[in-house]
Amino acid sequence: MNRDYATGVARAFGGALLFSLPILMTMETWSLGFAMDRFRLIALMLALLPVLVGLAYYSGFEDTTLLADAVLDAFVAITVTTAMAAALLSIFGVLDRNADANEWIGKIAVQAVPGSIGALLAQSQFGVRGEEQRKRREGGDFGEYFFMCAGALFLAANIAPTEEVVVIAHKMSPWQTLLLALLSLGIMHLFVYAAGFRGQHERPQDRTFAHVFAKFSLNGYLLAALISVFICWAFGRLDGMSIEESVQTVVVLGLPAAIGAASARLVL
Amino acid sequence: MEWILGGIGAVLFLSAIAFLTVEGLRGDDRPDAISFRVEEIIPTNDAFLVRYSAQNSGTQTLADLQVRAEVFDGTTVVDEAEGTLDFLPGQSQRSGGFYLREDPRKYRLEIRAEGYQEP
Repeated sequence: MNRDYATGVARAFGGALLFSLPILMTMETWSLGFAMDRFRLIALMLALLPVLVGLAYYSGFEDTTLLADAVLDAFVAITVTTAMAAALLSIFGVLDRNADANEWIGKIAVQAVPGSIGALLAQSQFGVRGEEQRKRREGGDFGEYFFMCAGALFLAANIAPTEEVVVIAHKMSPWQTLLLALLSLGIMHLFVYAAGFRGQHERPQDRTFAHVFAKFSLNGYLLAALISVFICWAFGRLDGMSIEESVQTVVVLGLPAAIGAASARLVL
Repeated sequence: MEWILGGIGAVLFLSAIAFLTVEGLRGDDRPDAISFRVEEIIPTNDAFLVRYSAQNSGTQTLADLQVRAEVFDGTTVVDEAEGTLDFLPGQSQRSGGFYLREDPRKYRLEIRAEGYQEP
């Protein structure tokens, strides 16, 4: 066993822990684990896999060059997250001895979404920079959109399990909903182009503001909103809701999704 | 090493999908009867503590399950207590307790479920 690899795995544990702690310690995620529709949970897991492979490909916890390596890394991230989530949930006493396998698998699988993303992000967050920086540049537009989706999925999955998303949607008037959608879009643009974070993007000289805004921020918000719809659906947040309420809920979850998407373009 | 960890991950992932598919194909979750069992009765200073377990024989998860214990002397209720179980997942077991003033061992104790929410 090579020492660098062990360091990489340890870092992955750290990443998984850091990124999944908020939902590991949120009660609603435990009950979602067994209460949510089985096929929607499968859909969530299947959606996660390409995201993990992509993340591993662009910035995994090893210097990944081949797609096969990226697939391998994605599964390593799943192992690490499963071990971490199973251990912590047992210590928390959340994995009941009397419960059936269905409940255990569900509870752990819900944690796998942020955890395994975190395990793979650990490299770009805490690891050495350089190689993956170069790789991301090669990703081009597809890479940018991919990272936005991954970031949106991560932050939306973190917040969607809480009751507050629906509560906020109930409290908002249609005007407030519209304002929130515009605000999310604006924040998204500012995050990437104006806030001066490390990794900030410069608007290319030959492109107008409108072009860049439409290409990344508007499209990005659209992607974030779609991810928000998917996550809301997966967690059963839209079941039995009117169209109006569903839109409000999606916009509420769209805020973290948009910020996740925007910050992913910076940090990943 | 990475092949071992990656292999475990692939097995975990695929078996979870397979398991969930089987669970999902069993059809819609159905609520069914809940059976209660008195685990033990502990006399405390000012009450009799009845520890019970509830077994959900349906596949539907029940949220906010209202549980009531009644102590009967013949057909007369001499004592009663209410409780709530936050969640009782399908085919699973959860435990709780009632504090009763009357000694339920001297009378007939009945525990039953009254209502729940679908989560």
